[in-house]
Amino acid sequence: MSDDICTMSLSAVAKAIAFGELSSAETTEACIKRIQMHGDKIDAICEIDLEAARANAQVADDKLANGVRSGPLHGVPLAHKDMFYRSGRVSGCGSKIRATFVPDVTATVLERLDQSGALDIARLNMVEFAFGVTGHNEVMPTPKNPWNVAHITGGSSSGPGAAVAARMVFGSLGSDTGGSIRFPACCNGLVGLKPTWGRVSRYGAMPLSPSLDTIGPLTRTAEDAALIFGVIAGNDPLDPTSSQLNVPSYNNALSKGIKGLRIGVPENYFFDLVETEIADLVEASLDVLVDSGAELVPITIPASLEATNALTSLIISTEAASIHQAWLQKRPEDYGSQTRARMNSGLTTAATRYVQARNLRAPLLADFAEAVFDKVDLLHCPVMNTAVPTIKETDLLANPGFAEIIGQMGHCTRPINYLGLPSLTIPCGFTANGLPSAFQLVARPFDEATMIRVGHAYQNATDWHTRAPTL
Amino acid sequence: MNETEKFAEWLRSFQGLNTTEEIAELAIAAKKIVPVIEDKIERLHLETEPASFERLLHDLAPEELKNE
Repeated sequence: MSDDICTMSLSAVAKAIAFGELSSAETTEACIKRIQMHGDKIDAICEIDLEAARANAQVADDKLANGVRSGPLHGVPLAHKDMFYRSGRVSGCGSKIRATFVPDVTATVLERLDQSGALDIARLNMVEFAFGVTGHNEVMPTPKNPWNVAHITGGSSSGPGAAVAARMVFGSLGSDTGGSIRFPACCNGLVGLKPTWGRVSRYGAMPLSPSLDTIGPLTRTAEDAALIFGVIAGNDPLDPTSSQLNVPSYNNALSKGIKGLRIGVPENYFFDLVETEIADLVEASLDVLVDSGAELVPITIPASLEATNALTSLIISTEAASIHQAWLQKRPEDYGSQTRARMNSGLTTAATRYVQARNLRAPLLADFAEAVFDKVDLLHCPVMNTAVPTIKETDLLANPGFAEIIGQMGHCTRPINYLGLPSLTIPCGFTANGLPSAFQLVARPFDEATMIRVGHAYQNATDWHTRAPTL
Repeated sequence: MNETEKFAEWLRSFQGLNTTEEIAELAIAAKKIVPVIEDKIERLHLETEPASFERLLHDLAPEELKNE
């Protein structure tokens, strides 16, 4: 019974708790049991406070017994990347530098999840300061992929990817600056929602590169992502960069179907570096969308997109270096060597080049919008170029030759951050090595609802999201 | 003085950065970004600033989200 609960979707569990078919206490206990059984193998959990988790679940059940349902996530156990501050609780950011840091504020995203009734049962491991795409962490545990523990989880939201895929929790918040939600979603067979820049408040979240940082959910279904996203999206006076645009009902979008939606298929750029087996899986997913009523439209991607991967790297390394400079100079040995190198490379960026890299975002977004969104509702493209590699072969300390391939991993993801656009990663099958793969949908700014709608239609017609790794 | 040493000296003088050989080498390796930006620099107009990007994001958003 315990494992049966854990394999339910977040939406199904939330409904079961709301209707009294399950208690929050038994649901939380099922998650705890699974974490205790498989936690050491997967290394996704940084810390779990069992006493608090059980007590909070009991509070949720008591409230419900008294007719009080806090919100749509009432009593559902979640856990998040260890970079969202909760006042009075350590937030280590996957680092030695902040291993004992206790914030005195709580992130707005956690406040909103609390208000919706969700339980926050654990802190999840992550790439050091969220700066890395494979999931490796030289100074803290590196999570393992539940589909095959010899393989990477993808990063930097490595713990969220592994924990949700391993059915330890029903959903998790990650962050995405260059692909850090989408890589773990792709590698672990999950849905990952990277929102439009400014759609979700970043108050109380560790910054990596504020011009690019976004926060979003990793879940097993698009419907689950809609549930969490509806709670965390929207303006926050504590984060003046958060948009004041209305937040639509993402749940309502689920029932609309996709008949007549125009989906763009890139003729250039996005498939330039993609291996054949990935291209085959991504292209096969288009057939499902056509069968569900979508119309495919070939799209020529503007040549200016070629520059965006390098421009993104410059912005990330420069902003990260500006944040970390004092520690980089005083405590260099406390950083992992890869993180330190990535940050150090930003210390010497000329200020004019940094400003120019930021200012080019508007004209390059205009190019992309004209080429894509004047013709279609969404763009459909790969997330990763290759099958999920092993931890060993991507360990740059032992295998420095892999650096170039890691550099290319962001080919399909970083341009989306540079342009500030939303993207939804949807699992679409398995490669020959038995690991999941995925495609991503890219929408016009603030149109997450249409991505969710298409993702839900795809999952209604397929069963990839129902398959669970055997631990 | 080799290129790395010259660069380290420049960083000390102009950036106040006591750099290591590692930092200097990384900075020299990062030179490849210069032509990427130079190639696009004519796209930057007098009025272009970060807020232009944020405004465009909002302009491109679905109209139904813009109603009060």
